[in-house]
Amino acid sequence: MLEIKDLTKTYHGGKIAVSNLSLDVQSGDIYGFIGHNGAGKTTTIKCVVGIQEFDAGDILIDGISIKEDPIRCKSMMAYIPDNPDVYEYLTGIQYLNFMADIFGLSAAEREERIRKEAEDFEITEALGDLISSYSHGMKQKLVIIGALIHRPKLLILDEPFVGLDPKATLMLKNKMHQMCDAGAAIFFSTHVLDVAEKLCNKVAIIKKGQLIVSGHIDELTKGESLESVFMEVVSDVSTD
Amino acid sequence: MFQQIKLLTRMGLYNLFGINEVRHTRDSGKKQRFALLSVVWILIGLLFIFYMILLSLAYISMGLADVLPMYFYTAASMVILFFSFFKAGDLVFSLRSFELQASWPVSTAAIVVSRFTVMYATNLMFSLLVMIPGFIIYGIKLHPAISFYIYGMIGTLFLPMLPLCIALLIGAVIRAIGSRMKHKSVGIALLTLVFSTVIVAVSIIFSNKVGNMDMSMVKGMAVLVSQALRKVYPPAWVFGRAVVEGRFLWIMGLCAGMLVLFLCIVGILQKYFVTICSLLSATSAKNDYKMGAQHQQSRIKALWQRELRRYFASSTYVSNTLIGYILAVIASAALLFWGPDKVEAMVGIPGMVYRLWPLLLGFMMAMMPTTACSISMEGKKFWRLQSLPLHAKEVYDGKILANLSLAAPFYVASVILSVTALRSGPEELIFILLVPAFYMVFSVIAGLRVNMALPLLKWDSEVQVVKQSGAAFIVLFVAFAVWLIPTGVLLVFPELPAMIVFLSVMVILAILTAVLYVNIQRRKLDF
Repeated sequence: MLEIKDLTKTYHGGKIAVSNLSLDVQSGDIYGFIGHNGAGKTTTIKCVVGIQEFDAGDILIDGISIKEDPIRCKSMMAYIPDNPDVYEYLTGIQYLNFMADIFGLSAAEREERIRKEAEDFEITEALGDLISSYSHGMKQKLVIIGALIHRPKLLILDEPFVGLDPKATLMLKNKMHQMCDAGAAIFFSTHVLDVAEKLCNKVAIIKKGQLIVSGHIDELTKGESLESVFMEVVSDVSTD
Repeated sequence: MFQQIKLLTRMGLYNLFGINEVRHTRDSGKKQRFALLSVVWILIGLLFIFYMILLSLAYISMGLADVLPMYFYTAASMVILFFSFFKAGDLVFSLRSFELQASWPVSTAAIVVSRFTVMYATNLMFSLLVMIPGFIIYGIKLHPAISFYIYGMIGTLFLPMLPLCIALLIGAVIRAIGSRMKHKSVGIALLTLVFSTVIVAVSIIFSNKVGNMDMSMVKGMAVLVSQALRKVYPPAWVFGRAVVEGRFLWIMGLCAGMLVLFLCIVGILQKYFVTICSLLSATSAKNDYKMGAQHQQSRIKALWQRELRRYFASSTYVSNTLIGYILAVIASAALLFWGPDKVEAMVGIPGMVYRLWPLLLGFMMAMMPTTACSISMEGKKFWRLQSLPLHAKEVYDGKILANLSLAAPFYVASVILSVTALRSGPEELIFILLVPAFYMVFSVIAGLRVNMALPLLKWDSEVQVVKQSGAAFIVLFVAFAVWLIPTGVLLVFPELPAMIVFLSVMVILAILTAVLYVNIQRRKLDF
């Protein structure tokens, strides 16, 4: 579903953010993307969702290059950033309708999906209020609903659990499992190794823009905790 | 306290014009854009200095040397008042900064003074740009005593304080009233526009009074101008007399007066600062929404609607960009009210109003398109559009349509008023209809293209985007240039049929608009 081939991204000024990174996220995967602050996780994600251009390599969504057909790629996926900076001048329902209009959802489809998702995340009653009045967690919930509204095949999340209350966190995890059961793929970055360990079937560890290890979580950990594996591989690379 | 003011002011100045960011960025593109903009600013500054020198020479040759300092003092003060008035409230009551600074162990007075000082710094530069050329020319021609320069410099240093204090007070009053309204942004924008209309009206009335003075006696002109300025702006009169006549106590009294006024304003603002900021930042939530039937609409309509909602959510955006369109309606209404003959007499261009009106209307319709800020106003939320399956063209068309739909009612109103006032024949009617329309569409497209070239997505206050960004300034400059050139041609060649100039302007604007629009279509959503 998501194939990253030799991705390289260099910022103006010469800083290499990501170097020759390759990954393969398949349908049904919940793929965790782990690394220190500044390792290149967000840059990779921004390249995948078409916010940032990249210098070399390619990114394929369901076999289609984001460079060649970004619109088709974007219509298959959804992105939830680490900071839910959304249009504070809209009400929640206006924002969700805007998203539904962009993805061309019919009136009946959007009504049914908004109703369901808003109830699941317990935000229905706030939908008539301006987003500026929302708390961080409520904004995050709204962005999640906006992302799920068109039933994406690929969901990309950057630190998705930051700011969510325990109930909403559980709800999001359930949604992620449901999506994967339905054949979608999920690729998300996180610092919380416990979450990655329990939620993901695959992980990739990135350091200084380079992929250190990737694969099935059981094969990587071999009975150890993900935390100890992470510390081990990161320190190995540092020593090298 | 002084240390707090110093630190806060330094932080404010770091943010000003993005100089600190450019200094430390590794992005060569950003540095190039900044360099280009700096060159434009310097060129405009030089042009301005040249203009001030010519004006000074003209005044001196007309025997008005003694009123030169007070005249420049008034002009600088009025310009500072007009331009600060739009942004003073937003800068001082900046919510984003307030939320951050309110948690620090700094006094409210230090916050208010530091924000004032940042505004003062920018306006002082403008004051110096106005006053110094005048002082130099005066010095060369009249060889005044050394006190002229010393008092002149002291007075100039204090010049921005009074207009800034007035602007700040009006800004505070507007926000104090607006913050209690249900729709704060719209309320504040409307109040700002009402106040700015009053300022424009008052300055027109005063300049009309000055213009109507009997100036047949050249010898008496200096006295007449001096008397008029004394009525319009007494501090300018005090300043002028003090520097020309070397009155030490007068200049000290003037500066002390400014300082006392400033301290009073700080005292008042300090008292209500937190209340106003809290009211402005307060959001009401009913939390009683019930899901009902939803409706589907086209993508372009969704984008257009979002643009309009964005627009009306910002009082700064509305009040600064709507002013040109409102001026067009007011000017047309004034033309209808006074009649073409009286307007010609007031402006001193007999028989020219029929020739110049379509261009003037066009300039006002082109002064400040919303598109010149529309990309920058996306700010940190730009990721949302970038990550959606949208063609860049759709996003740009949404911005263009939003601007045109905002301008359209003002265009229709001003054209109807103008046509009625001028009792135009079919030929004139066509040009009054078409020339402003061509200007309006051109400025909307040019505004968007300039903003694409000079986007500002990282900002703390909307004022930085709307009032201080390079894009907004360049568009205003372009609008001024495309108005001034054909107007100059019509004034210099009074025998030249206006139709030729109008047709030429329309053809040139149409070509430029088409070229820019095609160019815009090819651009990605990548800034």
